[in-house]
Amino acid sequence: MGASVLAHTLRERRRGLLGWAIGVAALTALIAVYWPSVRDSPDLQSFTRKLPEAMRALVGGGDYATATGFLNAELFAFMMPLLFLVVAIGMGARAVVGEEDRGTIDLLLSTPLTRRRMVVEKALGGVLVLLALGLVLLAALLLGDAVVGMGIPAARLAAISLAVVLIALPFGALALLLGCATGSHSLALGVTSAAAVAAYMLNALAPLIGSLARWQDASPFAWYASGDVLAGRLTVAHTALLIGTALVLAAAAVAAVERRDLRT
Amino acid sequence: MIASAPARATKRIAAPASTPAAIETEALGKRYGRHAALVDLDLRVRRGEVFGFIGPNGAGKTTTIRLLLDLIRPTSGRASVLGLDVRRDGVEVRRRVGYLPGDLALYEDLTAAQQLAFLARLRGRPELDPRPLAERLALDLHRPVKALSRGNKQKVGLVQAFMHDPEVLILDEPTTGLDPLIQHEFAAMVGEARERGRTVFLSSHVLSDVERLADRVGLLRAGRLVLVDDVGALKARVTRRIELHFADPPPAGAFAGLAGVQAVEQAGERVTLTVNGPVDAVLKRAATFRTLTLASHEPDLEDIFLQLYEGGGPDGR
Repeated sequence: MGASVLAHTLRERRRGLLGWAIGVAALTALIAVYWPSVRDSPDLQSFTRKLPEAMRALVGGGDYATATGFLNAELFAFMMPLLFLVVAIGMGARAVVGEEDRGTIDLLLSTPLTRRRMVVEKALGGVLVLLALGLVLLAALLLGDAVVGMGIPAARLAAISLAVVLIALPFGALALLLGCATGSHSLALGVTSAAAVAAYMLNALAPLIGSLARWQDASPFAWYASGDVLAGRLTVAHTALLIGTALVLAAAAVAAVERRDLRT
Repeated sequence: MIASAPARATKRIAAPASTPAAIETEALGKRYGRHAALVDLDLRVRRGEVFGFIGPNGAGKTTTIRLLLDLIRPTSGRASVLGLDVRRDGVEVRRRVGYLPGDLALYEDLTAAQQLAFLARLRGRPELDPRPLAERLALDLHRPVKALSRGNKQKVGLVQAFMHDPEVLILDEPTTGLDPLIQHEFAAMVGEARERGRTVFLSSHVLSDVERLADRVGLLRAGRLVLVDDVGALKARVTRRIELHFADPPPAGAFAGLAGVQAVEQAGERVTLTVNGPVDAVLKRAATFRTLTLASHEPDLEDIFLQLYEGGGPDGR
């Protein structure tokens, strides 16, 4: 049987992957070319320093004085994780439900393939697509850094590229679980997107709202901590939390689809 | 392969009890909320037979078949294929079964050859060659699935079901969209599978298909199995019309009261009889006159079906 479903998943995703890769590279390039003018603009830097704390929290700290602060605010606090989450949630929601919607699941599972193996291979395929996208991101960052001279160590660019992949995993896995449990593509997509927005807002607003503060560490975005990662602090604990949550959700997805009637 | 068929048959006769049935269900049921899609199905399909599973759309044929493949789960009862529980030993069951879905869907962006190679790999049999079957069915393997007609897609479905020469073939509405020539080829494939000792379970709402192919049929209606019988026996027990043309008009009442005769219409030398069951008595009486022609209108399963339905069937509705 090999890894036929995995290979099939990658084959199906390659055209989409190409589109997203272009998007990731273009966004990175666009932000990078702004860096020299931001660096040479003291007015902008004093402006962001004077922003209310709530605004600064929402735009990733708003530190435009350093290249890492600038990249964090413009790229990694919001836009880049958003792109990776959209890709991950889309793949997760479609993984099994897509086969049901198209009606191809009958043939797929009329072979000796188990449902568990189907889910595992499709999930691995999704992870590989995200890793490939992470590599594209890293290549774009390295190139951008070299061209505009941001002077960020390559190891930190690699760490932040990995972190963006990691933050996408639990949400992709949640979409996978909801699809496996309900058989509904729109429900998996909608609920997971809402959960992602809630997790993002919780992490961004918790420092400002006293009652939320103690819940901040429950948000995967707190584990993502792009500012820390760009400052050279990708922690084992946060990495383990992101991967561990994704694994638990994926295991639940297997259990959910094993007990369900498959749709025609 | 063909040479081994008699050996299998002998073995089956020698030890009928020790060989598990090809398909066996016990009180198998499936409910969707308050709707009962299948009720207490007790079915036993013998090894090496062609079994026709017929009934109108929505009768529960596809539900039964998807239960056998473990694609959906029963709300009551159990099912086994080749003596293996379809839930517990589902992987082994599916390894030994070929399946054609009733609502066949293929990966549209693959070619037929890629689709079949993918399924062969999933079976752990990448060496399987679809070309001989594709040639028989006149299927072009190199065209993308999305460019294929309904009938050609159905051929892809048939090739993947037969490709690994499975012990049991479960075919849901196999002749859908096939032109008559290809239907003929399909019938030959089913016949050859039986000769090799394979079991074929096929569903249809087109009764003439099943009549030609099957040894036995089961009639399903509204989720219940109405009857199971040999095709021959089923035909024998239903009502048919016989038209006799004699050289001279036979005496009035010559055919009245014979075994099985339900109605007699006589117009001179022509006699039309409605006969239920064996026609033996009618033929013997006819032989006492100079009979010029005899025409018997064979009942097809459509007629049988209608008669059963009008009669209400065992559960009296």
